[in-house]
Amino acid sequence: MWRRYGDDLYALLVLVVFSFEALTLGVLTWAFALSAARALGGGDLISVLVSSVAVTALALIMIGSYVIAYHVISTRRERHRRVLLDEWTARWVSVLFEGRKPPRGPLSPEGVETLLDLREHLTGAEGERVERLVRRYDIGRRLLERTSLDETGRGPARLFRSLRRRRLSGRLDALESLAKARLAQSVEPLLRLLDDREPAVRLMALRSLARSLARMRPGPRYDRAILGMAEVVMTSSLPAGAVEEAMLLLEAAAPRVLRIVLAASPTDQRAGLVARAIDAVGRLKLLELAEDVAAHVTDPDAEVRAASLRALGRLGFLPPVAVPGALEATGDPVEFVRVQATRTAVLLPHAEARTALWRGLGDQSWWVRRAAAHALLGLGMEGPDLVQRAARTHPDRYARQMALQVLLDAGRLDGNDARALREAV
Amino acid sequence: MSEQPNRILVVEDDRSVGRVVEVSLGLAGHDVELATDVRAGESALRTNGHSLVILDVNLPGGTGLELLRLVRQEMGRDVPVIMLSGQRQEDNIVRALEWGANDYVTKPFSPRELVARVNRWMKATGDVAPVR
Amino acid sequence: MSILAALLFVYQQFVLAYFAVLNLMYALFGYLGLRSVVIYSRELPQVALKDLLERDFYKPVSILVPAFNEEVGIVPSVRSLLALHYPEFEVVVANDGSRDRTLPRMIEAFALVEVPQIYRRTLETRPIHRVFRSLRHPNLVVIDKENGGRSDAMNAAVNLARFPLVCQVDADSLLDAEALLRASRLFIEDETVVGVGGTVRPMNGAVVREGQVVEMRLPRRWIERFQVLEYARAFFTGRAGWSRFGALLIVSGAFGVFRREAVIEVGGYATDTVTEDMELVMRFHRHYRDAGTPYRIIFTPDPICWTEVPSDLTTLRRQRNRWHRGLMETLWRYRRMTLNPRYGAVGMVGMPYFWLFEALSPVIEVTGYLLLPILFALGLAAPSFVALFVVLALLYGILLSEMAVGIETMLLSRYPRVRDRLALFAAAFLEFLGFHQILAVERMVSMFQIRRKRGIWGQMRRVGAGEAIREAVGQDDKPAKAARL
Repeated sequence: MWRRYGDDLYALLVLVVFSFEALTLGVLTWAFALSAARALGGGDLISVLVSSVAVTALALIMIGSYVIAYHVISTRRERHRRVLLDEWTARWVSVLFEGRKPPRGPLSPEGVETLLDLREHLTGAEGERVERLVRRYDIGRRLLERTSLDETGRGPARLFRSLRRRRLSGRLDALESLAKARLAQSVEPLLRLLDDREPAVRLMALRSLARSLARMRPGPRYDRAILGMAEVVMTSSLPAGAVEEAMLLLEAAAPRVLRIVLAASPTDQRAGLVARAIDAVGRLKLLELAEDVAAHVTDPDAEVRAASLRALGRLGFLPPVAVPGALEATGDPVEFVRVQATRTAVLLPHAEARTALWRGLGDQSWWVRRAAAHALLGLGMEGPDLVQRAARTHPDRYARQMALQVLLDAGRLDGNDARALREAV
Repeated sequence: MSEQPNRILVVEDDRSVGRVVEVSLGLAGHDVELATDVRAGESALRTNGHSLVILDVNLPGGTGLELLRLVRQEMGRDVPVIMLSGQRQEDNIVRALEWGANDYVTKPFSPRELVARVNRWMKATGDVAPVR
Repeated sequence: MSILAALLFVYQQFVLAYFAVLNLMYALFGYLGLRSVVIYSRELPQVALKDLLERDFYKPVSILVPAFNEEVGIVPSVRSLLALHYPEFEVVVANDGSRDRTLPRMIEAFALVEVPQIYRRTLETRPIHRVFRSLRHPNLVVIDKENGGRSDAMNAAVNLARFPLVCQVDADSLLDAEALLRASRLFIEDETVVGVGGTVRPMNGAVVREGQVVEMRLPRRWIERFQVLEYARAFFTGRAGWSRFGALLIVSGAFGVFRREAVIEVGGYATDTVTEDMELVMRFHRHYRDAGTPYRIIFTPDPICWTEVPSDLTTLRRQRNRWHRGLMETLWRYRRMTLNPRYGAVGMVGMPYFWLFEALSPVIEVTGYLLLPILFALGLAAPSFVALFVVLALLYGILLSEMAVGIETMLLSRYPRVRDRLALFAAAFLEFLGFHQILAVERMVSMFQIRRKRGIWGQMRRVGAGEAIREAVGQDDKPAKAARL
């Protein structure tokens, strides 16, 4: 973890110092060339050399003093800040619980940070009071201003402000605070930030957006925001994993957004995203979307098929419409689809499950065999017996081995049993 | 081991959560000891007796589940333990309860609800908090 | 005479220009490195990290630990790995035919029991004798195999690893508490990422408690302090810049996380090199560029691994000798990629830079030093000129170290005492009064040993005796840990 101040300044200092150094070396090289061509006297060469040494020594002193100063100042500043944060936390807690009057705004950065920490952790009556406090100090507007170029004002003042506000570090810090603040008012501005030039800004804006949406109250603005989010999920240029991360942050808003994504035709969205949306359904255990996922079990894209089967496995529920597809997938030509289908096969009606898993044990893929053995073991009361039988009588040698291994791993066999079975295998 | 009835141990690394729990339980008449990492929590558990323990799950230097195991298995104590955690995955909650936690409160949490749960567990074990 | 003088002068000119360009590169990378710190330090704030954890959004990791004659350190190091803060991981230790008590120590400490294990032998390795599991730690697997060298041990561990990510860690290194989480998150967010390297820092002198570095102290010996500077220069300034260009050629062997499938796809770790870490990364580059598949290998300054660095000059020299030989070998093996536009930034920028500024640097540096007294003796340069030139060269070196120290100051886990900070500055000066030159000479010498040592290796390989290969590599056959500096 890094300190988050003075880094911009240091980067600038390094850039300046080393540009100077490079320039000096350039001059020196040139002076050498001239002196080689007898166009420069020995004395002149020495003086060029002396000035190079002087410039370098100066650079050394500058960097050195900056580092020492930074070290000393940051140590003090952090100690001071810790005290301030403790004081502010105590103050807010006493406002919430002991009826103390809230301090007058605008708040110091520590005041904002501690209030947002409380916002992050509290619900119930106190949670609502924190939310009111966040609104009262207009924290959202201030943070939003810092996330993007401010268009108000004129002339030099505007230029100055825009330079300051465009600083990446400041924008990212503000976005982090917005993620904690989870304000309805920031949803629309955040949506606009999603095509920012800087990928880090897009990523953090997406996270903050999802977190804000998670706490938004129903209403027409909420409906618009849901549509906006679904649009972002389908078309964002961010990596699919980052988009899925945002889907998981949506909490209560997730079912509506994901339903739109799952219903959209594949041509409307980026490849790979449907699979991610399906995965999110499984991870969030959104049982109400099981039917929507089931429709993708026979998708032409293997990734999507595998994701649907895995998600249904996580939900622990196979809607009847998905049964034929899931059964068919245990014989899918693609290995990783077969693996998922085999794992999900426990959810099939028992007779079908037994047949499919028995067949899976003899699959050519090691992973499918293992998945089949595990699934068979978990097939209700008769599971362990079935695996025992497989270890003895399955026609495929590798299937027998796998069944034995799974029994051993699960601690279903003691040493003697294992030896006896091993010999049989 | 000195027995201090009605003393509640809270192991929580987050400054604001720790403070909120401390104050809200304090107002309800409980005496609270706060530890901010696993080591401090462990030494508090070993040196002082508590009538109830509140554990965060993700802590610096380990997890609250380790402390739960310490209380239940190593020390063999049946003091009520309430988990207070941002982990809201079903599996994690189930595991904590299986390991012997009495209750599981997810963050963000309502302080009033937490106090009510604490009071209920204290009552259940016979340690009713004295009214101040 | 005048022709000789002219030649010498031209060479001196070349040396100067060489350092000018090198300096410019350093400036650029220092700046880029800092910019990436500005972004990385904010992109994954604590809140987001908690979000990932709370939603179980991570990829499980198999930690691979090759162990050869590690009886002293293996138990504490495995114990510290088992105590890591990560929701789902396993530790796979490959005992590479140790001749000491490495295996018995582990059996005793972790209550290991032999288990029959059927696994998928995707990578060819020397025979595995036995596989153990621990009665106490369900996530510990120990492999006992015939000696085949570090890479062979890693390959065996990859074969047994169950999880989609593999992380290589040395038996004498410690991982920072959040290291795995921060590294694995990059794989989740972007599925084209195949490898992630983190920062390696020397832990000599630090206070370690329960497998975690709890307080930073500067080591007492100057030779260790110099290495603190070397690691800071290498990791804080160079890597981040290369990563940004998509031309990262090295992921340190001390700590790297890879996609298991990707490691298998390119054939695992190479057993015929002394720097298998760099070799693997180069193979990734060639493989994916040839196949035209999008991929990313990235360095992030955040996940941190602590490692024990040599504290005596003999070991250190042997280590650097090996690193440099490995570097040359690997560059040579992948020479066709140099300046080949097909390999993008790796071929056009990374490779030429490594040839010119890493591989050749000891030669340029040493001859530069030698040239000055010659010029002086031949009466071609005045004493004041020679003195000033030397001073200038030294100041440049010191400046680069100081810049790196400045970046270290911004880490939360920095050396907290001002005294240590001042000592680091002193070290930056002292390093150039002999230490740096000794290592430069060692690296130069190593270049003339490549052929000879490789010859020996080839012969040994034909004999097929793993142990003999070990001996040939040297007693200190520590891994190619920290990457070339």
